[in-house]
Amino acid sequence: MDISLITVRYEDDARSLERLAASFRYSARSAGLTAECIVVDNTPSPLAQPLHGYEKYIHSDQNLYHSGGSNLAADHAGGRLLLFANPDLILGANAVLRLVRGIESNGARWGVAEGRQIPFDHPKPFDEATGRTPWASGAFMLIERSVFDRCGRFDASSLPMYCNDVDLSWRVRASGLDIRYVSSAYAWHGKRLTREGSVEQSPHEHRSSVSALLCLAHKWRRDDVVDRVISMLRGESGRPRFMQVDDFHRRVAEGLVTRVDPSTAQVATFEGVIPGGTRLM
Amino acid sequence: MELDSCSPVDVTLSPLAARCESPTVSVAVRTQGVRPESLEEVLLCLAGQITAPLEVLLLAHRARPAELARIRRQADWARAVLGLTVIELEVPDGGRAQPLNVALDVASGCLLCFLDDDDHVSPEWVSTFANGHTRHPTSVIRCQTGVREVSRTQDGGMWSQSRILLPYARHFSWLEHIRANATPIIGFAIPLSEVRDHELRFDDSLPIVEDWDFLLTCSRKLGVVDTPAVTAVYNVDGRAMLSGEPAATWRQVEAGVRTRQWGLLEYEVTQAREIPLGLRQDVARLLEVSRPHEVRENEMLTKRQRLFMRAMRAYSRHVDTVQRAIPPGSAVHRALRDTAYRLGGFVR
Repeated sequence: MDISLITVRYEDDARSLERLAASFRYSARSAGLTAECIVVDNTPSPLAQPLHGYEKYIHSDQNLYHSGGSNLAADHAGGRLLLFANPDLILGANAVLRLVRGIESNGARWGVAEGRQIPFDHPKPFDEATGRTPWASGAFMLIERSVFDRCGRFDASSLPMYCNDVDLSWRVRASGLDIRYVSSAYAWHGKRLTREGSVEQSPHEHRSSVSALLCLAHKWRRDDVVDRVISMLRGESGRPRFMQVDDFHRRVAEGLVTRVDPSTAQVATFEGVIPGGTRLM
Repeated sequence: MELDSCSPVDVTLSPLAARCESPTVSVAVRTQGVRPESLEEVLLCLAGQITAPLEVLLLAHRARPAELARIRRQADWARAVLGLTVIELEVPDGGRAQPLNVALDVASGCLLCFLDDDDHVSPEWVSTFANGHTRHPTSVIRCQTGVREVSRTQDGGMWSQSRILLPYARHFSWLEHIRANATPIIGFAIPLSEVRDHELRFDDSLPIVEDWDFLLTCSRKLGVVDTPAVTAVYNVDGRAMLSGEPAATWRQVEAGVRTRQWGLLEYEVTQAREIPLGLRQDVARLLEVSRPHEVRENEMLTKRQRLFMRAMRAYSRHVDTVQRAIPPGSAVHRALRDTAYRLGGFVR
């Protein structure tokens, strides 16, 4: 098997999932690859109807979140390439071909290829000539199975969801490989805009991502970033916001966040991980 | 007028409101087939809509055979994989407006909206128009449009060079729009039955700004309802020209549009003795601005604008007409009756 599509569901509708599978299969077929689709369902109640287009539907009795769900799906994946995709993605016709070419370019050591999300991509730095970027979004990333396993997969303990993709990307880079942004490989990801023109984020998403950011910074030995984020949380609201900070301290105290060794930590860069001008609430 | 606010000049629902109980939306996508990747992105945007469009009219304008074949393949993919209802229409000749007029003729939805083959829309672009049409079925529905500078590569790559900017006015003003267009073609949808009843068409003699001219006409006749959500993004490739036309042509064509639109407006005001629907909000705003210190000293009214003001003053002397057109007791009603002279100072 050449490529496995892996997606993790939590209450996403079946139509979205089937649309993802259909667009992926077409794209993989266009690339001349054999393909399979795997979904791990974290929703408390499993789908009542069979999901069209998926070889494997794995319902988890407990919520494994994105990291645990993706790792579980990888256990059942037969592809030498793994494409992690959000359940509401719709792939362009040549997305798979271009991602595979991106990761298998001769003369370069690419560990991960990330595609572009339309209409609103995740803002982050990358080299326009080579596509080299410090991290890849787990919403649309291709990685070789061997690299995924060798680099330790997603860290479900430290980062169950949010920032788990950044963490994996940095471990891939620490292993000597690079991350490539392939803007010609695009997929629809239905983000909305606020009335101010920024990408909309629900309060839950915001809280969870900020908490994850603190855990990420702690794991990668960037206590300066931890301090800065905490002070931003206090400064912007005019009064202390403890929810994210409490959650972070709790996770550290419970030993859920394991720090990397100092030599590994050198690859971490928080440019683009804390978007400029983002308000932390 | 915003969808979720009340205005003293709120348009009374027309009996035609009963025509579209569940408004369907046709989307016209104009392409020459020379940007296949960006066209594919547009189709993906349409596939991701939370309210599916009734149909996607893929208007292949002056496309060469190879490009036409590629457009057809993309339409097949959109039907088979994305589940869209795509209708390819070959438009072999005519100016920029020709494919848009074809769409006006063949669209079967309650509403028609437009996409060029290099813009992006958010998931609720179609539903925003549909919801607006439900409440205001005879008006043009306008969404908020952002602008983003992008760079594109030959292999279909694209990245943002700027964040999404919001340079356009949130509220539609006809008098501001005749100075400069503030609504890209992706930013409005038209009620098809009304447009057809009024026999409104895009002017195919215009080499550019055909959408601006059409919007001025439709908005004047039908009025405009603004929606607050930012649902469309106009991607500007910083390294590509807007069109192949030189700057002098732009100025000339724009001046011609302004002259014609003012002439049409004057005729309607003086002959029909009614404030056109699309101007009523402007009139209300003008009359609210009645303090002399808000007038800029160096402003000069153009001759056409003065004519319009004289027409408005003449109109305002017809009390019975005022009472019919404007709700009695409203600020506009009072102002038109009592302070017509104030109209002369505030149109720039």
